[in-house]
Amino acid sequence: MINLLTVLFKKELMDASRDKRSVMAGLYYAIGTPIAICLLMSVLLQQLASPETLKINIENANRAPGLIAHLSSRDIVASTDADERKAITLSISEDYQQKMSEGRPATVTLIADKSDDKLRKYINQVEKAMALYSSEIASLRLVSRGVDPNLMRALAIEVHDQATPDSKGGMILGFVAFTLILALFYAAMNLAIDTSAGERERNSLSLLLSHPLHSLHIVLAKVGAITTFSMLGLGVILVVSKFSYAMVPWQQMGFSITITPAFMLFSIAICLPIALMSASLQVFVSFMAKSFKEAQSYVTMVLFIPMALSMITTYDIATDKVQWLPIAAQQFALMEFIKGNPIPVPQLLLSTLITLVLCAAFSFLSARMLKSEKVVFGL
Amino acid sequence: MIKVTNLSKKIGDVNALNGLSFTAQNGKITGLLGPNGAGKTTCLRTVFGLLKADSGYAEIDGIDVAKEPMAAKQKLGLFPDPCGLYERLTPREYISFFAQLSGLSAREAKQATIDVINKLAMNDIADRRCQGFSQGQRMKTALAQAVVHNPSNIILDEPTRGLDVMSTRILRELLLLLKAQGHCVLFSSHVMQEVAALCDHVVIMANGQVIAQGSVDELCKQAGKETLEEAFVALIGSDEGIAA
Amino acid sequence: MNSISNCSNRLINIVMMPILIIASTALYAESNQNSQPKLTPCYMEGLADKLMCGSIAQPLSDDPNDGQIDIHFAVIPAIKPSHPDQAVLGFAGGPGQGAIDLAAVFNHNLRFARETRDIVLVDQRGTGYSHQLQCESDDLKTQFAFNDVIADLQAMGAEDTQKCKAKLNIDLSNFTTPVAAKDFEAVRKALGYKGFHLYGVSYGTRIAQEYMRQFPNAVLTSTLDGVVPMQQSLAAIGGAVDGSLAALFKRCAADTLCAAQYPNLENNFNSLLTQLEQQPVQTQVRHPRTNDVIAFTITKMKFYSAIRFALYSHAQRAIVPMVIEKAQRGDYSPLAGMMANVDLTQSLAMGMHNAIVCGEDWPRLTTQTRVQYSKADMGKAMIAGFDIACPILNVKAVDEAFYQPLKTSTPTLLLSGGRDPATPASWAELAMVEMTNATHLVAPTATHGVGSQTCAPKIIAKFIDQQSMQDIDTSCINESNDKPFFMNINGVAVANSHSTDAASKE
Repeated sequence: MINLLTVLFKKELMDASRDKRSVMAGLYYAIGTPIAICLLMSVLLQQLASPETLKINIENANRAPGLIAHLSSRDIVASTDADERKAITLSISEDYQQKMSEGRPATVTLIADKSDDKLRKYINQVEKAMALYSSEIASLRLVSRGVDPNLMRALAIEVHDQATPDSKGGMILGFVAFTLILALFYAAMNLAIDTSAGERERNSLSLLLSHPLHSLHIVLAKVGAITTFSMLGLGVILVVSKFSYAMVPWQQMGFSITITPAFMLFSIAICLPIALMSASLQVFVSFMAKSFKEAQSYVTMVLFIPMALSMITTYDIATDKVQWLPIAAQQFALMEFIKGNPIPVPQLLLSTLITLVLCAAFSFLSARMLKSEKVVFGL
Repeated sequence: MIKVTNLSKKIGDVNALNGLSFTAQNGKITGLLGPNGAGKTTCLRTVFGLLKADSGYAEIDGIDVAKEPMAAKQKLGLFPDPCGLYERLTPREYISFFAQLSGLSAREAKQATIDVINKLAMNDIADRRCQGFSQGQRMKTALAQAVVHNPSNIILDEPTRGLDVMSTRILRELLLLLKAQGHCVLFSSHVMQEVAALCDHVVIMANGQVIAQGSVDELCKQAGKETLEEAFVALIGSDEGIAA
Repeated sequence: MNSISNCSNRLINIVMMPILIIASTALYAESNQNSQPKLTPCYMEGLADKLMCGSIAQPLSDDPNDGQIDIHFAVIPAIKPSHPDQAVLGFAGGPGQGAIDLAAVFNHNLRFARETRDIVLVDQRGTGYSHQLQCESDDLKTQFAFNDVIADLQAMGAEDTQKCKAKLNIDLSNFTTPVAAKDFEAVRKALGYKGFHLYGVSYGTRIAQEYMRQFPNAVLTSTLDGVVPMQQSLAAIGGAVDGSLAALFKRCAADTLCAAQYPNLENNFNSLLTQLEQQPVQTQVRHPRTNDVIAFTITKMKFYSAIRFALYSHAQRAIVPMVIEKAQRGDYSPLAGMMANVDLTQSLAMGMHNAIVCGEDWPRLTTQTRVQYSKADMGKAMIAGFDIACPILNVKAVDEAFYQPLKTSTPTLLLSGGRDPATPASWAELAMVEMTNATHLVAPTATHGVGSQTCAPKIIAKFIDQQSMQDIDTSCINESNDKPFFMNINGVAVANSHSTDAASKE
């Protein structure tokens, strides 16, 4: 029986590996995704890294030369050209100087649309710079009165950030883990459909079934072969990620993304059950469909579920509850590992168990389906 | 020996098989002759266990296919229609794969594959991928697959379709050889000449039932006709679905 | 009331040469003393990032019987360690500041360099966590009341120094720059770095140069910020103070608003000094923190040194004209506020500070240089302080070769601030006479420690990255970072609206 499985598995592997199109479709994803992400991020970082002087509209700048000088020392300058400046207006009140010299708060009005995501960063920059100026002037006022300005600091708030440079990339790390999990599904999707719905459409399935073997053997061999390609896709995306992420200057954003060999091994161990589950799920769905085309659309639809689970974890939605679910938990573990945090073992074990049970269930159901003449002949 | 007893099978609303009974003996070539839609393929699929009969049973060497599918299938070689090739494998890989599935060890399978490739004179295509094969090449490959493990019973579904003259001759010789070796050969066809030339026993089917059976001569006699084709038309009562 | 203790410290407080960065102890993980340093996570004030702290045991002296002291260090890990075998080694100033406590400052100045390389901070022996040599110092109330004119400085200084020496109970000759340099090399070896990029500030540039001299192969690049040349005595600082102050007066005079608000500022300042010299002012102020009424004695030296410390910071420079004017009118609260803000006694290890100046600067003084340095009040006071403390502390003078200008072909970047009240640009020129691969950048409006001002951090990072100054655009260093002067007690604004462009120009 092991012998039979080996024979079937070898044939599936050989057959699949010669299916250049499907293999390449999977590999394109595995190779292309990290490279695309890295190119995109590099461009983004380049924009961030050269923080060109922030140009804003300042009304009545001459009323507050000190503030203007301070802002320009922090790369915020007034511009009269409405095209090149951001939609942020600072308006210095008419009585600014009066209030300032009287020791009353002098009004500066910041006019901007805070719902504009692109602006928010710049608004923060202006607000921060002004707050700094305000506290600097306030400190000097106190010094001028013989008072230690540290009195204004009732608390010395010290932050001990447990984060490491590797863990600070939060969102991007989540995305990295997401691409890994997605690779499991995508790398073998076409192969899965080809080896099940495709095999039926080419009539070799019925010939296979006419031989003295259990349908479960056939399903297991297929699941095994698909898993192999899933894992191959994972391996490729890990290797490509290792090199491409290393080339992005993340450090400019204060964190780094390093794919270490340990992480690679960890991912492979964590992802194997997912690959098995994904393979059995795709086989199951493909056999359920009546034709190749139908299988393609069903599999794509069904893949939305694991993707959604993965996405939820990436964007940290309801993590407390979701992190017990399969795929979500594995992805969470991947993220924690890369951040250097302790791995949530119970969640991981439970979800891995569920994943394996699902794999067994899907395989068993597929095998049962193959006993049905309706399925075999697509009736 | 393949024995079919009172097989009935409904597919959808159609009675594909309707109390079909016949026997194919060892050392004989049995032809299943019938117009399109007579139930030939359904009958054969039931024999090799892909379809389950609603009633009746099929036995292979006395083993009920429905009850002991593994044991029964072990004794079968199958040439399906359509052939069910793996386009990305070479005939050598393909034949060897099925040989192993039928119970041969890797080494035995390799040798058996070499033998059958020689026997069917297909060395020229043995190591090319099946993709792009002509119909004849496909049939040969499928045939090789069916006989590679030297099964006692061989079922062929429309084996001569698309074969050129040379290939047909090779097939014919092979079937005769198998027969001489004492195998039970059962094949379906709607080509009269083939059946007339090869078969020791002919089963004429229509509407899922056996209309008549016997040797070619017996059938001609029964219908009072000169040729099998004329006898066939007379027996099924129409000339619907007859191929020249 | 303990008004006559610690006079020498007090005196040296006035004359020491710190970089104006104040930091104090934060969480610190004690580590063991294996030769293989064990690194434990630790945090420093003002820096949220996790550092790795550790220590190595180093022989106190050449005599093994003297035992060992622990040299502590901290590693600020690189964001992305692209060059794991290199690190930037930060040297603190003072002398007497501990580098580890200044982690936040080094992290800020070296933030771009840190993107790809670790930053290593070693507490020089005698400072910080490395066998800190600290003497008792006065609280603020005592300092405010202290009158350096009527006190018998000589006797007080001698007594304080004796006390300090007894407390430290260690041969200070083992704490000079040439000895300490070896500790940094031991740390490099222990941590396994192939090479260091040096970044020294103020006195830190002296030990950086000494390190380059002793271990040229361990140095990849060297950035000297606020350069102290090997051949220059710290006692020469008086000229720099006066120069920085003169620049401030000049700027105010050139600014129409400042000139109108504070006419004759320089003359007023000088006449105030003369008045105080003749007759120190005895008054009362509110304690800057407790609000108690406390005695406040203003002598010429105390006033001058308060203004001098204010010169280090752009923010404080903005109120100097106002402080002078208020003092002239008898309002000493702004002066008190300014003095309270400069409370350095805790952050400098005075024992170590004295070891350096008595072993390196004092022995070198000649009759000629004494006369020369004493032309400035600060230099004079400094030499007086040395003359009291050093004979008692009995630090072995460093070798004559120590005073030779550093000969090196290592890529070296020298940074000077045009307004620096401690290390003027001319000092950097002096330091680089024997350097064959050196670049000197002067930030015209920067004060002491250019690395924390202007765009220097970026230039430093690029220099470290390519190990050469070639093709690095340094024009941004010329950007002004002066702050407008306070025109009244509340701020910069005045009630007329004519153009104030001049306020931001020299």
